[in-house]
Amino acid sequence: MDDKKDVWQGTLALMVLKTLETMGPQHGYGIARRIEQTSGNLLSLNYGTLYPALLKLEQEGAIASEWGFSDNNRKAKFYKLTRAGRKLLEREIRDWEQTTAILARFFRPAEEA
Amino acid sequence: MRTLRAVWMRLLGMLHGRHAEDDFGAELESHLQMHMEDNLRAGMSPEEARRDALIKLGGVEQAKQAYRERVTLPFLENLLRDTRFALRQIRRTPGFAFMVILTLALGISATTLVFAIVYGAIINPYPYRDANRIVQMAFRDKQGIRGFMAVNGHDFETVRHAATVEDAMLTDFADPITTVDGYPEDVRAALLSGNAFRFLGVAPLFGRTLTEQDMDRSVVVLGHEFCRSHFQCDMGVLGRKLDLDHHQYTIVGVMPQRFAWENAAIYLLLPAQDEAALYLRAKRGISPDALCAGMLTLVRQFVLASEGVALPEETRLTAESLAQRKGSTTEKCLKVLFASVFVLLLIACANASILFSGRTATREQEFGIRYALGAGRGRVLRQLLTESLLLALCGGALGVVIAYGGVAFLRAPLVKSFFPAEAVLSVNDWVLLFSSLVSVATGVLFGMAPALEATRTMTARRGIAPRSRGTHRTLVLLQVSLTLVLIVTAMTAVKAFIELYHLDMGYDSHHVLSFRLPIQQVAYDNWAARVRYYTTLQAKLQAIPGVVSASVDEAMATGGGFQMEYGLPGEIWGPDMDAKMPRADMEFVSPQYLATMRIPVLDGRSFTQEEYERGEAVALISRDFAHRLFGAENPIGKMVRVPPLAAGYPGILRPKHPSGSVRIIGVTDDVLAAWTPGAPPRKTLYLPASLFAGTSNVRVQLRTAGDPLALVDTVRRVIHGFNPGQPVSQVRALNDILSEDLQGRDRWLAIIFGTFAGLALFLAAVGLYSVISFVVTQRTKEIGVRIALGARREDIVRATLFPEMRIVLGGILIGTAASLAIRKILMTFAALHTPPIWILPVSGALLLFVSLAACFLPARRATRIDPMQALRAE
Repeated sequence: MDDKKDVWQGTLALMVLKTLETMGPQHGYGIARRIEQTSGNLLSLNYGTLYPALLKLEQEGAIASEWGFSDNNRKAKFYKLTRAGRKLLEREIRDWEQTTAILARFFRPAEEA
Repeated sequence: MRTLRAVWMRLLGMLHGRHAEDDFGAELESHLQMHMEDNLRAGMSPEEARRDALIKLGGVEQAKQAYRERVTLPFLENLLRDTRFALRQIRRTPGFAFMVILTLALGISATTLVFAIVYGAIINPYPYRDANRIVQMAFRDKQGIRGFMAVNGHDFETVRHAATVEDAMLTDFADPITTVDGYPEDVRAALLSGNAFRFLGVAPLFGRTLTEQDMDRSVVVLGHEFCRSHFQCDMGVLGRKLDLDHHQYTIVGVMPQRFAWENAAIYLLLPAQDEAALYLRAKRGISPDALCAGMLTLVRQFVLASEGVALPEETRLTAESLAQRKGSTTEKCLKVLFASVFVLLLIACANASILFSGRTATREQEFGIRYALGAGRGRVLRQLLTESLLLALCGGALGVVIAYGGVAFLRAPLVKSFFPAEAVLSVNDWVLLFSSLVSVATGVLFGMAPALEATRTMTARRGIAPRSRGTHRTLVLLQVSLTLVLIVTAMTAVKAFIELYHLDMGYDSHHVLSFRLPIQQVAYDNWAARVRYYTTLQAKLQAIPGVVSASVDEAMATGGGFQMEYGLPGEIWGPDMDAKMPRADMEFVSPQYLATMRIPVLDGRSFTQEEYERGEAVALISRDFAHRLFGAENPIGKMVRVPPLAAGYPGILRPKHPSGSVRIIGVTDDVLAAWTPGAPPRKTLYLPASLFAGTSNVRVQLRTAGDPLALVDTVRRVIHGFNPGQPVSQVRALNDILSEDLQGRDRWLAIIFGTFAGLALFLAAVGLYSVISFVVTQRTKEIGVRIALGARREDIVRATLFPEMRIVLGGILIGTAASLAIRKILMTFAALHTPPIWILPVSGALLLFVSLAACFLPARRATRIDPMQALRAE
């Protein structure tokens, strides 16, 4: 059970970082919606788990937060990538691509192996 | 790196946890609002919009909880919160906290102190490299150790390169005479082989040590103590000259305090070819048996080559470590001491446990509420253990402070009686580590039982099941029985010491001044001159007012004289008689010795001054020895062979025609062989000192009319006036020598054990007192009802006391059984003998009396309970 959760949290962090890179500073709700949209609504995100993940990234120094105002002029906490976060994202993407490439080799038809 | 930063941030998060929570509350609120707005825009009703937003979030409280756990480190935060709570609890009940901390501090300080002693005396007494592997080879037979292996410079190289040997060194002694300030004095010098300092591996404090290259230089290394007492001990001492037997030596180094090899004051190089005692370290992995077999083969070669005779077949070698030489009895005593201090600690724990469980019992309501509010059993258990740990750590801290004081107080006396000269008694890092561990263990130990009990009653249906007092009873039982064991041990130790103190050694040690009088070999190098020097000195000392009797000879009542071979005239011994003949104590005495020491002559007579000056071959024999040699026959007139008298030793002068046998002219009373009750009498022959006139062991015994130490200055002046070059050393009253050197260890054992038993008794009393107080408090209502119904005072006292007294009696029984069981252990404990049976009932009665006294106060309080108030309290 723990393993699954770890994997999920790991990928959630990656999605958060990528979302912030594409969209720039964004609040928690916005990030959640964006992740759902990007996944073509295939992912159903429990919003409550997003915030500990954001906090973890913030504690690790990958993102920073500050209070600001949303498009509708509502007070919200905005998260943005830090330089460390950008580097982390690059590394994570590289790792992820490598992992999927390796896995892809396993899933290829047997005669090619 | 990232994880580390995260942990750091979470630690910081603990500092402003409250702020973070508010902040997150606001964030969640804005999240919900934005979500609802979107939902409204999508056409939901307001209620539906809110519900959907909440469902997608997974619950506000759950989200907050997940967030909170991420803000800080929950484990650490709980610990902090528990600690803060525990501190508040302690502040709220200072009396209780004080008693628990004091109890534990007493237990932990005693444990720490004993561990410091054990560490100093057994675990790490020597500063030398691989000290526990340094051995001497001893020749052993049925009588014990006959001597240690010694080799000359040539054979030494063979030994060093033997297959079983890693390295070896040689040590010999000399007592050169020096004059640093006024009076001449003899200095104990160790003569070491050139590689010795490398072998021992201790760096000098200043300057350098000696090496093979110093062989033809006159250089000396000082011991720390000698340097301090004779010079201003700093770098400036290097290069100064030290006069030894009128020969100038340059000081090249000073050793640190702990370097006290063979108790020498200074260190010189051993002349290259001299024979000296051998010390060695076996190669790693070589068994003692293999080492001894290898060395025995070498010894046989050496003896055959040098003396042309083969060693007797049955010669055996054993490897004696430094620790074994310094006496394994001390180690045994310390083991018993260590065991009893743990018993004391256990008693302290039981006590703290009793106090703690009394305390938790009054907090049942609090635990009930916590349980009702959803605290798990584990959570409350942890809370209680935090409290007990905190108390134990406070106790430990106070205990270490007390131990520091104890070490400072005991350092000087204990070092003399328990320790080899190299050892130090101190509270070092290891001791501190030990006491920290002990404190933590103590906290868990004493907190566990009450905490488990409290949480058990918490989860049980409260009010219906009466609170069981099983834990209390067990604790009191444990405490009482352990206390009894400690009291028995202490009484045995104290009794042994008192017996020791009043022991009749066979001589009278009161009012005797004793000192060494080392005589320069070169100055009195013919027999007549040396004997005349003795007798003249004796006459001068005898003439001092206040001196009842003076004796100048080589005898010392406490032992340490010559052991020589003896036999009866008819017996035939082969060439290997050295190794086979029995040995006895040969006391070379002046005509005045027996009278001075008040050793009674039972039969026959003592020798006269004329016989002494002529070097007549006569002797007195001790009673027991005479009985062993001659049975019921009258020993007077018999001859006894003492071959070494004819063979002689280097440095010893003998009359012109030395005889190998002596004629018995008198029988003396026995002198005990050791300072122990029941020690066997020494096998002694008293011979005229003129038969074997040596130089280095000459001693003076003065029987004085008053305080012996009052005469010291006069004695020094008289001797100085007679011969300004004559050193006088180790001037002490014989009683002081006995009490410091011989009784010292046992006296301190008695004091330490006595203190432990006293502490245990005190703790047991405190424990009982709090148990009875607790019982009285718990039963206030019942007692109130009883009084209201007309119970008499005696009934109340009986009702409160009897159950507890039954436990005390049970504890005494168990303790008695345990004491009987460990009698064997106490017996092996060198200083102590089998505790006599009467000690058991006496200890039991003492314990019972103290218990009754401890119970009396709370029981009386019970009789004064006002029934009205007791009933209203409900």
